[in-house]
Formats: sequence, C-alpha cells, structure tokens
Amino acid sequence: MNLLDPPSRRDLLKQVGCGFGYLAFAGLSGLEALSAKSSVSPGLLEPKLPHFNPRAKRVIFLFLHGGVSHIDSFDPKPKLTEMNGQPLPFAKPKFTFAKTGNLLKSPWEFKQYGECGQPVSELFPNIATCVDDICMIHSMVSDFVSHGGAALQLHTGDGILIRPSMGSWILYGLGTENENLPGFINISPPFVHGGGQNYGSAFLPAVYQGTSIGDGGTQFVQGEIPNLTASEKDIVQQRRQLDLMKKWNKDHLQTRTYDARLEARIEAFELAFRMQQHAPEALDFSTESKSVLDLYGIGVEPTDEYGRQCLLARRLAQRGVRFIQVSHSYPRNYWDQHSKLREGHEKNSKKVDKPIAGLLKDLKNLGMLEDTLLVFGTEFGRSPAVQGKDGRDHNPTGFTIWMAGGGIKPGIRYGATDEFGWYAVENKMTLNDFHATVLHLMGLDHTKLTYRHAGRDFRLTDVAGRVPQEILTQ
Amino acid sequence: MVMKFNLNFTIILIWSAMVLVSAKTGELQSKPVSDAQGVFFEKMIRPLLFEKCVTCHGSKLQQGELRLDAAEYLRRGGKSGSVVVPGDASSSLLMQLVQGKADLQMPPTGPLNNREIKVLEKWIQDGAIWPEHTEVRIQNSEAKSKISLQPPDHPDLKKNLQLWLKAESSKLKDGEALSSWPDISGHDNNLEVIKNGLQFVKISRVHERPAVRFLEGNLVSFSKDLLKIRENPTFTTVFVGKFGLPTEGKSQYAEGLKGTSNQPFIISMAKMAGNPDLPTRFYLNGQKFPMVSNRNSSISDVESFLNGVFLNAWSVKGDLSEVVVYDKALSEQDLRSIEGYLAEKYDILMPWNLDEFTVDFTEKEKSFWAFQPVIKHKTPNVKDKTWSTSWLDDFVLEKLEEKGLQPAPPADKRTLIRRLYFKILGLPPTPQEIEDFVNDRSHDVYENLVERLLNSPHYGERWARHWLDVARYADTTAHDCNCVMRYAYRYRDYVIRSFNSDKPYDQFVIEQLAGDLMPGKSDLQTFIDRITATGFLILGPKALAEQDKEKLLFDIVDEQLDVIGRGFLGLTISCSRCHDHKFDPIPTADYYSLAGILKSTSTMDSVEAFTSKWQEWPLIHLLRKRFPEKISPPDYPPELNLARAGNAAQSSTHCEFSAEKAIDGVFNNFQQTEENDSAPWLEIKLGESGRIGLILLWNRVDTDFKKLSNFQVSVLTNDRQLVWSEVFFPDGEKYPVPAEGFRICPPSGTKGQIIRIQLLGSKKAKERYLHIAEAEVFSVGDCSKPPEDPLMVMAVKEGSQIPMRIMVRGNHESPGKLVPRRFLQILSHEGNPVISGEQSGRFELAKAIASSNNPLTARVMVNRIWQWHFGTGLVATSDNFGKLGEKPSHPQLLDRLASYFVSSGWSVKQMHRLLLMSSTYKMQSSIRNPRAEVADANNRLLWKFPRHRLEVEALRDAMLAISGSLDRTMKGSIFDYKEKTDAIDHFLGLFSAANAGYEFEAYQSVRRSIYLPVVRNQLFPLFKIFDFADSNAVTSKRNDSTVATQALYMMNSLFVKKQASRFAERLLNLKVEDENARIKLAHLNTLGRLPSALETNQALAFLKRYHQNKNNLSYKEQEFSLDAWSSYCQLLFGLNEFLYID
Repeated sequence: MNLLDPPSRRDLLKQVGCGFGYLAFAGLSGLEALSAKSSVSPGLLEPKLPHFNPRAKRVIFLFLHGGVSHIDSFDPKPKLTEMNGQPLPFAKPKFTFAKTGNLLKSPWEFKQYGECGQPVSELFPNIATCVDDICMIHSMVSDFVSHGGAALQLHTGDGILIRPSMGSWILYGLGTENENLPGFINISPPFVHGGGQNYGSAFLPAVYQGTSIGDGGTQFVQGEIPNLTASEKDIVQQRRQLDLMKKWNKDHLQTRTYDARLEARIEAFELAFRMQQHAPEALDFSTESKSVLDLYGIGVEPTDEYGRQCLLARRLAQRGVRFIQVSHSYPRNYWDQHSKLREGHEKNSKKVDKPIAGLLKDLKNLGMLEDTLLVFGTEFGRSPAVQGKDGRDHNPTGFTIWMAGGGIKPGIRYGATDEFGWYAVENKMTLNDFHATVLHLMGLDHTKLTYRHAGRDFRLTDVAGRVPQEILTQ
Repeated sequence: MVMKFNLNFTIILIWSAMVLVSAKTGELQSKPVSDAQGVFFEKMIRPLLFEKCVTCHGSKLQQGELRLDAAEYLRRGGKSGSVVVPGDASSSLLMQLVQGKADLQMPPTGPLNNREIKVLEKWIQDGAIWPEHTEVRIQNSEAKSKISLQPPDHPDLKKNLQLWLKAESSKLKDGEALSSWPDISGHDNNLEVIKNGLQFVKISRVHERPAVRFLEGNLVSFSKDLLKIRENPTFTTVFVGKFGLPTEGKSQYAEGLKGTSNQPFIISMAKMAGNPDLPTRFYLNGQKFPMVSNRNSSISDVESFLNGVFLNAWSVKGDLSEVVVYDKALSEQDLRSIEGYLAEKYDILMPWNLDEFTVDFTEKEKSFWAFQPVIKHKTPNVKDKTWSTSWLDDFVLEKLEEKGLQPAPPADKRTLIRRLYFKILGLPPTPQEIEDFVNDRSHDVYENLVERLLNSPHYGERWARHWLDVARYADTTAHDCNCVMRYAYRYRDYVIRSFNSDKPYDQFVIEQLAGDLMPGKSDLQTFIDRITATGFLILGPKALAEQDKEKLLFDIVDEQLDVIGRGFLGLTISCSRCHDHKFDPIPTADYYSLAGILKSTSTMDSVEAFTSKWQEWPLIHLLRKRFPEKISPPDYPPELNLARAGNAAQSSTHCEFSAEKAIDGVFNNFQQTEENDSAPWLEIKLGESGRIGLILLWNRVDTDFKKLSNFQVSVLTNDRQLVWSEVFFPDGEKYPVPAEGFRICPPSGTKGQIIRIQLLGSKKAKERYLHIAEAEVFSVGDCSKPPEDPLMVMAVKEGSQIPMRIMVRGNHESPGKLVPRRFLQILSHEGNPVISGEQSGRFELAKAIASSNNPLTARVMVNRIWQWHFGTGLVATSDNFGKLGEKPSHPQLLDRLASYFVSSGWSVKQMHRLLLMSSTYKMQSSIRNPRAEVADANNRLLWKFPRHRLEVEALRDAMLAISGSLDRTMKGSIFDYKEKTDAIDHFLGLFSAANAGYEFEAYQSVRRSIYLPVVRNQLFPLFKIFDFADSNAVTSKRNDSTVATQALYMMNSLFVKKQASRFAERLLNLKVEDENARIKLAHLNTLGRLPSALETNQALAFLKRYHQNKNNLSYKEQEFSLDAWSSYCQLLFGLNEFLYID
C-alpha cells in the first residue's frame, strides 16, 4: 500500500474482500507477494488508514542504552569548560541517582560541521558528516532518574505503569505492510531495565508485541527469529504435514458453525510457512555489495556487530517492517559511565558511530530516508557535574535525542539546555511530545490513537503530548 | 493506576472557598470565586506554579522563605515581602522575576515562555484568585461554613492567652530530661518539674511530632500567676496529646468513648469543672465526645491531668505536645478555630473532616444498577417447559424466547466429557475415561463425572490460575530490577488449596486482604494460610529503585487499590487518585480514605536502601508463639537449647539494649547496628558454661541485597578467652547464609559460655547488617541434617497508622485535607464507620467488601465464574461494573446467581454444580442457526455453547499429558532463583552477565503450567505468544489472538516437537494389532473421538509416504517410522479441533 497516496476505503475493502480464499491460493501456488495482505486475527494486522497523510512509513529506532552524555556528544557547553572544577551555581535536581561533585568539562573537543554548522564532538566523527540531514533535539526531559523507569518511559510513555510500547501502538494504528515478517522487530533488545516490557504490547492484543532478534546479552552475528528455523531438508515433509493439517482443519470448519478464529488459524499456519521462507532471505546479507558492507563497517572491528544490526534494520525496513529497533544495550554494551567516562564513551562510540552514519547514508542513497524516520535515542543524558573521579551521573532533566528523515526538518537544532547542560530550558520536549511527534510523522494523531482498556481510553501520550511544528518539513 | 484527565472536563466546580484578596485594593477580602476563574486557575496557574516554582518554594524547600503551593503562603510572601499585587501585574515582584526585570531571574532553570508569562500576567491582573481544593467535591452544607483556622496567639485572643506550652519549641535532644517546660505565651508561666524530670521526645506517638513525656512519679507545678486563673469564673484550656485509656468497656471520661491506647486527641474545656453545661469535649478519630460531667470520686489520669492545671501539681502518664490556657471562656467559634488549627497541625481527624467529605450522591448515581441491592428474582415463565433443568435455564430461555430463538440441542457425550475435563481440570480425558463415560448408561453418569472432577486436586490448579489472572500473580517484581519474589509461590499454592477445599469466597476475600488480622482461634494450617494470603497485596509490580521513596510507597498503595477495586468490586477506584471519578460515584476523598488503610499497612520491609525491599519474613517464630505445642525447635528437645530465657542474655555493638536475637527461639526487638561500625558484633551469653554442639544461624529476612556473609563465629569463656572460632563465607556475597539457615558445628567437646558473631571486612558491612542475623545455640547437634525451614512468607504487616491527606492532583508532594479511613461511601449501607486508629483498617475494609450487603462482590465473582465457563460474563467487562462497563445481558439472572452464591455460603463449587448441570451448559457449540446468527451474532443470549480456545496453560498441559510427560506433582517452587540471576536481577549480576540466551531451567520443567515461574520482564516465550495474562494488573479476560508466531511455535519449537515425538514413542510402544489401532488411539488421545474411515486412510497414507522422495532408502523400510509418527502427532497438536473446545 502506498501510504502517501492512501487508497480509498472501498479499495481497501476490496482487497480485504479477497480474503482468505485468495491468500490460501497464494500460499498454495507459491505466490509470495511481498506485501501479501491478509488478516490472521481478523482485522488486527491488516493495513489501516492513517489519520492523515504520513510523512514516514516506518521507524528505525536506534536505542543507545545507559544514557549517552549529551554534553560530550552533540550539546557542547563552553561555560562548563570554563568553570571546570567549580560548583554548579544553581540547585541540582531534588532526586538524583547518585551524588555528584563539581562541574566536569568534556574531555572531547567539538567542531562545527556541515552547512548547518552543528557542533559534534570527536566521539562521533562519522555522524558529524551527516548533520545536515539531522534534527538535534537538545531539550529532552524524562521523569525518571534510574534506568528502569527512564527506559520504560522512553519506550512506552510511562515508567511506572505497564503500557504498550511505541512500536506496538504504531502497529496497532497502521497494521503491517508485509505479513510475511513481523511488523515490529527488535534487534538485540536489553533484558534489563524493563526488559520485555519495553517492546511488549501490554493490554493491546499480543499480535502487536515486538518480535526479538537476538538479545543484548548475545553477540549478534546473524539474526534469528525464534521458531523460524525449519531446515531446508525437512521443508518438504513439513509441507506435507501442513497439507494434511489444513485439510483436516478445513473439514473441521465445514462441520462447525462459522467461526472466524478457525479460519484465521488455518491461514496462520500458511502465513507462518511463508514467513519461514521469507525471513532467511531478509536476514541474509550475501546479496549486499562490498561497498555497502564497508559503509556500515561490517567485517571490521569494532564496528562489525552494530554494523550488522544496522544493515539488518535497513533490510527489514525495505521489506515493510513498520517499526525496527536496534539496541546497543546491556549487558554487553552500556553508555552508563558513572566512572571512566572517557574510556567508556569512547569504546561505545567507536562501535556505533560508523554503522549509524552508514545506515543514514545508505537510506539516503536508496531514497528511503524520505519515508523512513531514523531516531537516535537514549533514556537520559548525563550530569555536567562529576560523579566520583571521572564519571557522570544520570541526567533526565535535559538531554539530546536526534531524528532524521521521514518528515523531519534536516540540519536544524531544537531546544536547548542551560549553559551547563543540566536542565532543558528552551522548548522543553517531554517524552510525550517525542511520542506525539513520532506518531504524527507516521500519520497518526496521538490524541486519536486510543485503546479502550480497564474502563478508559488509553493513549501512548496519556493526556499530554505536543508536536513541535518547528521540526517538521512543510 | 494513575488516571489523568484534562482538567477542563473533569473538575466538578463546587467552590467552597472564598477569595483571599481583592482585585481592587490588593488587600485581604472575601469574595466568591466564579467557575471560570476557578477553571482558569486549575488549568493554567496551579500546574504552572507546581511545575516551575514549587520545587524550591514548596513544602520541602522554601528558598527566600517563600512558598507558592497554597494561597496562604502566596498571601504571606517571602523574605522580599509580597510577591504578588493582585490586580497589578506590573508591580508584582513575581512578574518582574519571571520576566528577568529584577536582579534575580526566576525560575533558575530557564525563563518561562511567552505563553506562560502571559497567563501569569492575566491571573495577577484579574486579582490572583486562588480557590482552595477545587477538585474536591464538597457537598456537605456544614462544610461550606468553613472554619477559619487560627493559632493560639491570634491577635484577637493574644491578650487572654495565659499559657502556651509547645513541645516543638524545645531545643532539647531526643530523650533528654526536661526540668522546666517554658511557657511561650509571654507570661512566663513555665511548667516546673518538682520531682523526676520529664522527658523530651522528638518523634512521639502524637503523629510523629515532638512531645513531652510524662511518666508515673513526675511531679510538676506552675507559677503562682497561672494558678490565679483558678479563681477566674471563666477560662479555657486546650490540650493536644495522647494517653493510654482503658480499651475495654465504657469510658469514664467521655460518653460513648471507647477506650483507645494509641491515638492522639484534642481535649477542650471551657470554664471550670462543676458546670455541666459548658462545652467540654474530647476529639478523637474524627468524633466528638462530650466529657462526662458527673465526675465522682474516682480521680482518673485525665481528670487529674485536667484538674492539675489548676492545682499546683499533676500526675499523668502520656505524651503532651501542646497546652493552651486562656483566662476567659472562648466563644464556640474561637474555640473551634483553635481546635482546628491544632488538629491540622497534628494531623488529628476532626468531625468536620468527616462531614466535609461525606457526599450526598445524586439520585442518578445512587440508582445505578450495580449499586442496587441484589434481588432474588422470581423464576420467569417460559413457553417451552421441557428444556430447562433449573431456574438458571429459565432465565436464559426467557431471553431467547423474547427474540424468538431456540436453544441448541444438547452436545453428545464425547463433546461433553472433553468440555468438562478442560473446563474443570484443564487436562484432556484419557481414552479409557472417554470410553467409560460414553458407555455408561446410568442416568446420573454426567452428575457423577462433574462430582469426580470437582473433587480432583487438579481442579484447584485449573481454577486457581483463573484467580491468579485477577490477582496479577507473578514471581518477579518487574520494572527496574525485576527481583525474584521468591515466596510468591506460597500464595499461589494457597489459592490452589483454597479452590480445592472450596473455601467460602467471602472468607477467601478477607484472608487476602487481612488474613493476619482475622480474630478467633485457628488451626495451624489456617493460621499459616491467612498470613500467606496477604501476599496478595504485595504481588504487584514495583519500581524498587525509585529514589523518591514517598512516591514509591504511594504508587504501591495506588496499585493495591487498583487490584482491590477491579478485582473484588469491579470498580476502577484508582481513577479517583487525582480527581473525583469521572463516571462513577467515587470522590477523590474516598480514594484517600481507602489509601489511608493501605498506607497504614506495611507492604515494604525497608525503603532506606537504594533498592527497596518488600515484606518477606520467617513465619516460624510467630508459629512458635502461637502453637508452641506443635512448633518447637526441630529435633532438639528444649533442654538442649542453651539459650533459654532467664539464663541467656544478649548484646551487640552500639546498643544500649539487649540484642534479643534468639532466646528460646523467640526473636524480636531487632537492633540495627550503626552503619559506620566496621566490625559489628552480636553476643549471646549463655549464663553458664556448657558444651556447644550446634549454632544455628539464619538471615531474618532473606533479602537479595543484605545477607549475612564474611563473619566470624567464636566461642568464648566467661572471661572472654577464646575457645574456638572460625570465619565463614569470606568471599562475601558469593555464598551468603541462606534464608533457610546455616549450621555451625564447633569441634566436639567445645565448651564455652559466650557465642559471638562478628561481621568482618570493610565498611561495606552496611550491605550485611548484623540485625538480619539470628542465632540459636544447642548443646548437641548434627551438621549433616538440613536446617529447619523457617517458613518464609511474603506477607504484609500492620504499619504505623498514618493520618491520610488528600494528595492534590494525585501529587504526593502536595498534601491537602485530612480524610478519615473508611470504605467507599456509595457502598456503605450501614452508616459509614470510620476506622479506629488501633489498626490499619484492612480487616474492616475486607469485611465491608466481603459483606453480603455489598451489592458488588458477589455479583462480580459469579460473573467471573460465568465468564470462565462461558467465555464471556453476563457483564462482559468483568472488571468494570461502573458506568463505562457493559450492562449485564441477563440482569435478573446475574442477581439470582449472586443471591444463590451468598445463600450457598459463597461456595464456588456449588456455583459450578449449578452451571454445569444446566441445560444451558450442555448445549452444542456447532449448531447452525442462521436466524440466531443474525439476531445475536455474538451469542450473548447463549443460543449455543460458545466454542472455547484452550488457554496456553491448558494447551501446554494437554500436550504434556498426552505425550505422557506430565509431572503431576503439586505445590512448591521450581524457580531456582540462583540460576541466571544475572538475567533477572539487575543488581545482583548485571555487570557480570556475559551470556544470556535467556531460558530458565524452570521452563524445561514438565510440571503443570501453573507452577512455571511468571517472570514479569521476561515472560516465558510460549506464554508471551499465546495471550497469557498480563501479570502487571488485573487481567479480566485473556486475549484471544491468532497470529503466525503461534503457528511457528506449533511447527518448529523444540517443546512441541519433543512432546510430539514422546507421544509417537508412546504409540509405537503400544502392543496393538495394526497401525489403524494406533491411529485410532492417537485420535482419541488428542481429539477425544475416533477417526473416520477416510481420516484413517489419509493418516495411513501420510505415515507411509512420509519419507518418500527424501533419499535413496526405499520407503518400505521407512514406513511408519518414529519420525513419521512424530510428524503425525505434531499435526494432531496443530489441529483446530485440538485447540478449540466445542
């Protein structure tokens, strides 16, 4: 479905009207259209009309877990350098994660890049070359000082109550473009700090939950989707098994009162069989050229692993997956430098800088950046004051997230923190605002995307959320 | 659950407040607030002030001596004087500050944006109107005549103020003796101590405020000046304090006053005793008691205390926080204003606090169906007299006949037995059981089967799981740390036991809320069950690393209210946290009335550490006290216990008191050692030298973060000569003492008189507080035996009774008015008793919920039972009986069922019998009825039995049962939490977690699914895919989604493949005539019926040709191989006929 030119309701109904019969035929005869439209749980996953013209068809959310220091990466503070070692001249937040001391200047130099002149530190020399495509949001605020709450709020809008993940909401709102693959995929998600709740569907139907490929604790080599592992050698036998199963399921259906669930389940097996054939192709990099692999830093250390994750994200994006999250996360990677800021951040940035820039450039080369929203996110920033000897504490009161593509105005910065980088002071952007913006770019009005549960209509943005028009392309 | 709504459509604008300032003159005046002004303030101004100013100018911090969180503070201004000139924004300091026109720029975090500045400007220009508590619905007329509160030295009264004693003005340190209690009235009427010094108490029991403690034998006197008042014809005294009063019988001090032992009160007395008409009164717990005027010769404590002011000495026991004396009789209004002032200050509930929030509900609210009493409706007349088996069927048939529909014919016996087995046990019938049932022609064969199934222990496993969905059961805490709640399983086992024993539901409710407070004698198991049941309150998800501990505690209460409300009452109570419920008659005040009960209950063991810890404690000590004859130290006759009361003594570092760790196996008075002590110790002195055979050491609380390790145990002689010592667990946290205990056996022949346990290592000892250690000493012992199970439970305790205030907008940092602890007003039919301060009130709450007068509890539960049988409840929203919930499809039937439920003694099994025996239950599910399909597509009227998809537990259990692998062991934990803690528990091993792969051993278990751990942050993948309950809140109904990942699981997962191949092995091992017989058995096992001839042929063909085309082997050899059979069995597991119950 071309979302920029949404089909009429009648068109949609017509397509859906082909229904299971059509799809069963497609499955049997080996027809495997990339965007097979079926509805396994009736209506749940079929493409739905957005509220208005979307700017993006899909989201790739890069989650840098642990808290990337904004003041050491994209939000330089000359005053901090100047007052290095002195106390902060105003009050620190009431609740902090740890005790902090005096101000600590950034160990990295900043330079201005691109036509926009956005400053970037030495940590991200490759992302620096992309700043003209990026919108930096320097005024993010979160409500939680510890990782669990903050990560949950970033992913679900709430750090206390259990809410559906952003990806689940989007899948619920828009359905999927390709049912041969899950619509919401998480590459190497963390299993701490909310773990599965970060990509769970909570009270939304389970069909909207994220599917994991790998996890934060396992070296990512070649992705694998659980239970999508039938080997070549028994595929013939499995097909036979499924054929008889289908026959008997159909006989069963004939003798029962009509029940959409029974029919849907027959289709679910067919779909699963097709997925099984599709997924390996999506996960297989052998058709990618050397130059593309190089762009992502694949085959070279220390970029190989995250490069693979990013390239997989692009391949899934090409195949119609709505929401793809690529985590650089606990326990193997974390941006949580309570001490040894320099070593930790340097080690991390060397792993991700090139792959991220590679992904952005690749999307651009392929003409996909226009309708792909790329988000660089973290649960909070870090304190301008030192923790211990050489670390920084968590700082949810002001930090940076950046976005690119999919309707985002390129080469701009939005919002600002104070002169030390502690508090967001200008155009404060809450996580509700952030979520409202992501939904908006996907063509969804965050106030209208609701789900009735436990006596009320729930939203990703609860009762708040604002879309800053300044960061949108016209 | 926090529910926030936009204020513009939620505030109920009934203003009680008066305006504080006049727009014209900028002076104090009273003027009514218009609705529009109120809305503007609540919507635009209050949030702005709270967000931008109150952090530094609020209850915690008062920078520049300025507060901006209440009208009175705004009025008062700060160090720089008034900040707002009503009606004149440009002259207001506040505007200058936020616009950067003053020297200071406010807020320091960054300037306000233009919109915010404009809003503020408009507000000041319009008179800076600040209405009070606009979100609270105040309907009581008395409350509208608000009492203005005045301090004792208010200008109008100051000249008559003769004495003002205020404990908080003392600069003494806690516990210090007081020789004189200075008068601050300016008259120097100090209270002088004649005999035995008084004691200053920094945090007294007068709601944790400072007080002066009077003990027996204290003798005090006043100055002569004050005593002159005695001669005055009129005078007034007001006291704030707390004395022990007899708790039994009628009070001799005030009429109607039942004794109290631990509640603060206010006593006001005007004029001298002897005149019975004077307003002398006693305020306690929101009630006003007139003082008994007819005082006879018995001089009581209080009387002597009251009289003592006018004698020159008194003798009284108790804590006094404040004493005020005037030399005239105050007017009623003045007196109430001072009483009110003191009550506010000391959080003492006054009658007007109750009145203010007593709501007169509208007729519409009161007449809502769910709040009407349950009526035992008459059985309706139906046309078809032949179909019904009982009144239940008549109610169903009535609705069908109204629509001109007919019930489906009865299902055949094969369908029925499969339906019954899965509904009641969650397990499939065996082929033998099916054949026996089908071939049994006796008339009561169905009834007998129902009875047999209800008596199976596996019934409890099936139905407990339904309840666990409501109770949001899980084995980990979720959120940031996802810690293992190791003893949650005991609650689960309790639920299984309760269903199996058909515990009356009302009792089941009470036990879960207040089992620990239930009076009366009980046997050992009942006692254990009741304590364990309260784990229900702890099960919820918790953000243990939340650093704002007040918020943490409040969020826990909120979560508990959500589960209590939706679980038991079908009400979304927690919607009222921030504002009156938008749809249901639940005022915010009621929310806080309930919150007060739970706030006075201790769910958390400690919130001091970085990571908070829930209540988890050994039950054994309590049991030893309650059941000494049944519970004695294991294996050891008491005479071998060397630490006996009267002989042994204890002490530890930095303690003035004895440590009391284990004398006669009794443990209490835990004394925490100081943090900075690097090697704290604990000693048990045995009194006489003896042979030390065994030292048994436990962790009092098995916390994941504080465990006894790296310590030295020594045996010393009386003069502290070392006899023997050894260091245990030197590598710290790696091998801490387990909760279950640790046995230390000194070498045989070791004799000594003192046992010393000393923590070693660095100052990190605070991680391993000694106070968690408990030791027992025996003369002989056997180290080869496992230590006794201390029976750890996860259960709440009574907490300190904390007065509850409304949190304005649900924000715990902006406390509003005091509310009484009591039950929901809309459901209170027998008055609205306020809970006394003696207990948290959980028991009263539980009784109110489980009362047969409560119209909701029985309805909600019978509706759930109905839903678990028929897929959908009569009320489809089984956790919401409020206005936004669905209306019942059969309101009269619902009531009749509820009434039957109560009259059958709340017996769940009796409900099952009623439902299962009905004709409604026995209908077919597969009937075609085009007319009904149109008239009632969703089958809400039940013209057929609803087809039911197996829940994931039943699906898994059925596969295990059929494959022959199911382990039917009941109860206990299979969660070996030591394994892979890294993956579960952030703080235990996050940084060392190099490998994950994340599959617990426990998930490989072949026990029934109810015994598999529910790991909130990482649900078992099988559960996750197949719509398992969301364990974070009440799951009223499982989702029923059909997705490809489920199919993939059936096709490719190791679990399904393994069960299929086990099943195949089982079939192949059977001695049968031919493959046809095997196919027949395979069908019977999975589908409960025999295959048709066609199916048999198709199966044969499949099995024969399975290996065709695969390789060079001739398929003769490969026919009917294990592989082929496995694939065939897997196919059967994948059939809709297997997954769906007709």
